Amino acid sequence: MTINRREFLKRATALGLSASSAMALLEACGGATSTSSNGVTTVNLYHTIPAATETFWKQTLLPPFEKQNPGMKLVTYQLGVEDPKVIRTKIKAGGDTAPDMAWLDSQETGTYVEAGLLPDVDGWLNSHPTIKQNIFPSLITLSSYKGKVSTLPWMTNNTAMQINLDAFKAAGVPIPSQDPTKTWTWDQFAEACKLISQKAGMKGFLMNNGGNGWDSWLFSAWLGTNGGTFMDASGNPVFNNAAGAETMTFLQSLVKNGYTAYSAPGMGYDPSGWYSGKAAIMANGPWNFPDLSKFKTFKFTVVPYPVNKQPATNYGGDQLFIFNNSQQKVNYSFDYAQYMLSDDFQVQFNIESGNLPVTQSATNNAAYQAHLKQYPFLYGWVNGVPYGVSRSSLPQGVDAGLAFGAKAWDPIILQAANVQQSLANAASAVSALKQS
Amino acid sequence: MQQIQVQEQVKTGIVRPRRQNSKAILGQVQAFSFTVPALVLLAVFLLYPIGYVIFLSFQRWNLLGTPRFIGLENYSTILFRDSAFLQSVGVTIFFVVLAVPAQVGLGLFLAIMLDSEFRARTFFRSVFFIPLVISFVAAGITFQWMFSTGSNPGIFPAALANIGLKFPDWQHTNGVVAMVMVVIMNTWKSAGFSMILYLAGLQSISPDLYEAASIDGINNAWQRFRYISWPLLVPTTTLLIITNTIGSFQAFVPFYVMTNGGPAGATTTIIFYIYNNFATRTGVASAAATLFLIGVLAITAVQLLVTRRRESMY
Repeated sequence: MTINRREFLKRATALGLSASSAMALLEACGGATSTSSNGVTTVNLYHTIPAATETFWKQTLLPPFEKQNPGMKLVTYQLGVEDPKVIRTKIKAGGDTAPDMAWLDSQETGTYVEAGLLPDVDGWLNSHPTIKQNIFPSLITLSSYKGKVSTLPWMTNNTAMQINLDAFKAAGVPIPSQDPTKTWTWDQFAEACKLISQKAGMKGFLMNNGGNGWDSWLFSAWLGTNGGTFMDASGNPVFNNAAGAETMTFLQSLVKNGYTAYSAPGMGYDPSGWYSGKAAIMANGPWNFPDLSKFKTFKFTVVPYPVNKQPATNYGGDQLFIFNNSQQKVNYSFDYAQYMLSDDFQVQFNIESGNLPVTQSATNNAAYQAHLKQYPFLYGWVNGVPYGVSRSSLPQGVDAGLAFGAKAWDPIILQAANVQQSLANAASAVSALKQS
Repeated sequence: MQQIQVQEQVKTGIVRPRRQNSKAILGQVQAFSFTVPALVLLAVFLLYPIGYVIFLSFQRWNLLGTPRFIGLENYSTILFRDSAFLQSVGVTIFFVVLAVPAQVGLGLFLAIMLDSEFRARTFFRSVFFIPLVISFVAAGITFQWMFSTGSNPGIFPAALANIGLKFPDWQHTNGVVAMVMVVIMNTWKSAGFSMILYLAGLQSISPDLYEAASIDGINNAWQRFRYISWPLLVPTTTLLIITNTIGSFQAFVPFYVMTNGGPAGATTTIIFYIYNNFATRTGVASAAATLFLIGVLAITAVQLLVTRRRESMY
């Protein structure tokens, strides 16, 4: 087929126009975004609040705030599992759905501060002294990076041992105290696991099977009970020592002796193995409260980690990260933060979610105290708060946890590898992170 | 005299008339213009990303803030300091070595079986093709459930336990079996593709060749396959080996769904390593991706050379 020059030019023009349209479309996908329409500013909030709590939060807690702030429309995005990849990618991609606020763990603080993405939270908090004084001092520390508060605590939590009381009774094991200073020891814990495995028709302990930083988070609590810490303030690994080796040897011995069942791969936080009676003890957090409060299959309670040298647990919880987008959005985000730190929010949200309030007034609030009395197993977590070990907020903190899991936890717990060698490998991998 | 010379040159094609020249150039431009949309897409979605990944491999970055040039530091990290990368290279090669022969071999076997005349042949062709249209996520989750060795054992481990046997604990301790489980799922899922191509190849072989071979004394099925079918299927085999090798190198979903890279990194392939690192150590992940690209290109080039030589032998 031949075409004349006019036809060719016509087709070339059409092609050119199509190409420009395609380019415009591509540009629109990642281009700048409008921040307001009809005088209402849209503020995007990314979170991983579990479904049951999310419904309560959106239906009960957000409407009063939205009523007080008619110029702001809060759009929430549920991410499922908290994964730095998702939020970082969304921030980088930009567009209308990029986050203006996010619910993230404190480990991410350093990375976001170094990238210059966070506004002056320290200044805002200093200009609101009543709010600042009301937040637990340990959580102010957890929210800080290089001496400045950079994020705001939304709720806090830790892990403790959920125990199956029926299995303890069947095995004749005494119930440990919920007071971390008077609770069980490592030896008593090992003995409990042994007796339950022999007499109660299930394994003693549901051991975490790798992945996603959960293992290093649990390890930091175990290590804390043995007087050790995971990483120093400069990002150097400090777990490769006698305390670390003793801790991992203890945990490995539980596996070797046949006292444990494994969690699903990469899902150590999944309590289904404990609910279904495969193991009598598991380390987990208070965010399972909505399910636990209705759980009737067997009797249970929550007690602290067993102690070898000192009481300890691991601080978790989530922070409100406000992103340095337009000033208007930042202002609205701080308005939300102020509401989030009020008793109205803290008490209701944490009663519903099972997490722990971040302010002293909310913790002492009559309604919250009545809630604790109604569900006394919550004391297992609440009593642990003063003994929490924070995760590092250095930029390499997340990867350090993953490196520990891959090089130490998995080989030692899953493959009976040499403890000293595995810890040395993990320490070497964590050190290498400082250079990349 | 000069005019006669030019006319001669035009006739012999040494010189073309000017009008014809511009027409030819216009023709070239026209032809090229039709490739522009494809070239634009190629540039935007392939060349630019590859170039950007190579650029990032020399930077320190974590998706946030500004990348900072650090020279070859990321390459040094993955080759000399981060043993997880070299482990992932070994894991990837192990997977490819198991997965490609399994997919191609099973595909060929099924094609030969289903090429012969028998009742319900169409039904069985559909049965073996169906896994191809099921998503890897669904297939992976189903396999994980069926073979779970966790606190809620799957149907097969439970059945074995009932007769006093123990299914290898691929989800927690046995990395080799974990890899084998992924290969089994991957083969079940993908062999239908090889089967279809081999079937097409077998059906394109002229029956005359078999007749001629039978006159020459080749009568049993193995000899027919060995001396007629197999040589004529070499182009199909070449295509399948190359596509399956590249596909296997890039496999991600089966690992993500079934093992999440575990146990203890035993199924963390290079792609999985890149995925694990891209958001927090983007430079390191980019360096790994660059080496991966070079490796796959080199392997594909070698495969092409070797298989073309074999094709020319037949």
